[in-house]
Amino acid sequence: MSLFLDDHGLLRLSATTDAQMGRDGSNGVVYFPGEGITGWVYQAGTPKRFFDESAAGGFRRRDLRQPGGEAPGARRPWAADSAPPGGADASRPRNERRHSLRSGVAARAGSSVSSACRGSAIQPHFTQGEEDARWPSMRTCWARNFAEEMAANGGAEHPGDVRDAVYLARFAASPTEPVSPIVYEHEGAAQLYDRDSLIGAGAEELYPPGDLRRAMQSAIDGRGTSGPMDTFAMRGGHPRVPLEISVRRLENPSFTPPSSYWLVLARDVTERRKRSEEAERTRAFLDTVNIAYFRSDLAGRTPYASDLDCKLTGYSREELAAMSRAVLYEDAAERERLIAGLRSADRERLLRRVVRLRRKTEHGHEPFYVEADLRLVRDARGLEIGVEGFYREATERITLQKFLDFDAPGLVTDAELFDKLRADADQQKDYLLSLGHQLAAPLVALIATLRNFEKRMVRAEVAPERWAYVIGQTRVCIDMVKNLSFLGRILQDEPLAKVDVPLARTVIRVKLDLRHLLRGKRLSIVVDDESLDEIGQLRGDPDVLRQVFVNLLDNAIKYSHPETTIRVTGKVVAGCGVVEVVNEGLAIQPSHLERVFDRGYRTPQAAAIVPHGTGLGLWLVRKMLALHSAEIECQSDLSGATRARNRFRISFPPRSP
Amino acid sequence: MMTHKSRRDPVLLIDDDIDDLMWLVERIEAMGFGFVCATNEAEARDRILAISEGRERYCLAVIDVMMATHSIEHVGMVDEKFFKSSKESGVRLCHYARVELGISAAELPIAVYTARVDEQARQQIGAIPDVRHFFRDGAEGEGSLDHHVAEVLQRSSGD
Repeated sequence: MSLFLDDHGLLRLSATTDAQMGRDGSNGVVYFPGEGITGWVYQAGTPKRFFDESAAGGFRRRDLRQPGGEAPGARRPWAADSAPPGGADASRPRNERRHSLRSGVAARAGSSVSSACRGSAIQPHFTQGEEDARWPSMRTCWARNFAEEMAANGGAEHPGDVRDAVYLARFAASPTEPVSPIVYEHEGAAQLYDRDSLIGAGAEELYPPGDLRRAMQSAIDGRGTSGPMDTFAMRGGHPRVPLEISVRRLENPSFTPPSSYWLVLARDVTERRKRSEEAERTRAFLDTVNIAYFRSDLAGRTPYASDLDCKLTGYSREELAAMSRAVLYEDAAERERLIAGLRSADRERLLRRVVRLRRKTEHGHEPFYVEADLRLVRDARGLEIGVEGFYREATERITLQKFLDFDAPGLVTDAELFDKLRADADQQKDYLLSLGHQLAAPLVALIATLRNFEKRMVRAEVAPERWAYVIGQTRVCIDMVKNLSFLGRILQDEPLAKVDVPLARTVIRVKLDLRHLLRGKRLSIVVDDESLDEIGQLRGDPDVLRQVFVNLLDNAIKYSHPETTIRVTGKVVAGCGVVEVVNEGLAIQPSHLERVFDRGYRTPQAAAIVPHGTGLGLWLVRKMLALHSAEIECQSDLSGATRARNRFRISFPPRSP
Repeated sequence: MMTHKSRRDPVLLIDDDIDDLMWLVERIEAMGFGFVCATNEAEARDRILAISEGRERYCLAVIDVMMATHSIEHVGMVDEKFFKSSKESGVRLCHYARVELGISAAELPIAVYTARVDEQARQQIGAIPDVRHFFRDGAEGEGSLDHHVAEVLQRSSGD
């Protein structure tokens, strides 16, 4: 038979009939009810905890004095959210709970206790002297347990690893009475005050006058605890070391009179304050270089937000602390997806993402982009406790990237941006040079031809052909200038005319205008006007729609094999007008099919056979069609080793009644 | 290749858009000369090589600086990694004739022209011996391409 002291819902071995128990100095057992077979054994001053890690048993022993000696995720009986099930009323402060003795049976492993069964309650009564004589280790047990609890409640990152000054002082019934001498000191406590030992010293003298009294009074006025409170450790009669102190009133009513103490936890915060100041300086610096910082919990609340975080999001610190950051995302699920991404990412590295957020404004919300470096924050046991991130606004950069047609999901480097800008500038220069060439060459030829007419150097039999050339090339030059004009209109989003445009007639007129270009390669254009008439009229801008077919047919002429036919046909599919321009020409590789509509893009083969192209024609076609809610796609089916049947297919929207 | 027979050595016209050179063709024909056209760099190299080997003779070569490198019939047969810039194809042809094959100005006078003011092309052509460079700007008279062509053809007529 063994007796256990029910201490805050824990059972401590109090007395036992087992002669083996305590034989080697074991003088205390703690049993955590509800945790399965588990127990604390205080053996020769070294606390050992036994716990069952598997349902099948198999005890493992760890020395709690070793860092990390506790199993990850193990329940902490002192943590506010993990009051022992079956224990006393968890809503009440522990030092207010009644202590009682219970009888029970201890399962012994050798001279140690491996488990204990709860039994019936017995109310013990010991004198103060008996407590001192029989249970000196009880104070150690209390001090450590309560100090760890206080440390945990004070936000220490390693609550099981108390390195602060902890001591017990006899309770003075009234704050006006002198504090009783210190009766217990945790190792290292004296060092904080630059003394050999604190035992016997008055606790008050360790602080500037009145500080400890105020903390004690606060504990008496409150729920038995107070702090942390800022003060200093007195050394040589002067405040030297910045401290935070927390006090707890402990009472053990199992003794008569009740055994009462002040448990004091004094933490040297020199380093912490230094780190905190450094961190604050770093955050202030980050603000000056436009990098925002936040630290949020897993629920999305933001206990820490830098000034810039508030400015960028439009929310105050108080609002950010209370709300979930999920509302900052246009898609509320985006935050969870980001966290999932963080979980699968390398723990040691920040995850970089460009994220679209919402800024709160007077009139609602406005979107903005940030480039964020994010990571999961974990506690000492590796458990996720939140997310922190650095980010800078990237709206202008994203806008610029989009303007430059960058497809990259994130921000590109300055070097990449510069390369793109330079490439675009080169492309524009090339475009202007090509345009200059394309205009100059026919204009020079035109004037020279006209002079030949003037000098009567043109033979009569070729004169009609030469006049056709003059007229045709003049139209080509006009069309090129029109392309420029349409480019300007498109770039400026100018509204287009909306009139009925006869499709077949438009295409036939374009064919006639380009007729002179067919002679060199002996090409022909066949316009199936009957099929185009099935579509009838298009609704849109007649000049722009004409230019669509000018560019498409001009493109087909340039890249058709000699002595082939270009065909233009139409049909109605599901109410939509579909026009196809088909030629036998240069094969377009699958990888180029979509890019032929990109601004300035030309396949290497196209550049090799037509050096003066601008790469604007098909891009403009797509843009001009988009203004009419029409789409264009390209197919290239090989019809020989090096030639293909190229099909440009335009789908016009159904005409509204 | 487009040819026009004449008793005199013809003019070699190297341009991918002969339509734009028909005005010059008319003047060449008016002076009693014929012409042969090469419409891309590959074809022009064959002509120039034939001159070097004495298989063909021309009284003048007129070359566009910016010109197609391949014909549409052949471009698909060439790996695109071997494509060279079409912006300087005329310059490469001049270099090929004068430097690589050593065709002299007496064997083949060469006139190159650009339709735009291109300082880089001007410098590249200036580095090749005995090549006359013209801007095709529509001007006539002394210093213009057509004046130069007329001079060369006149000299050739007197030979």
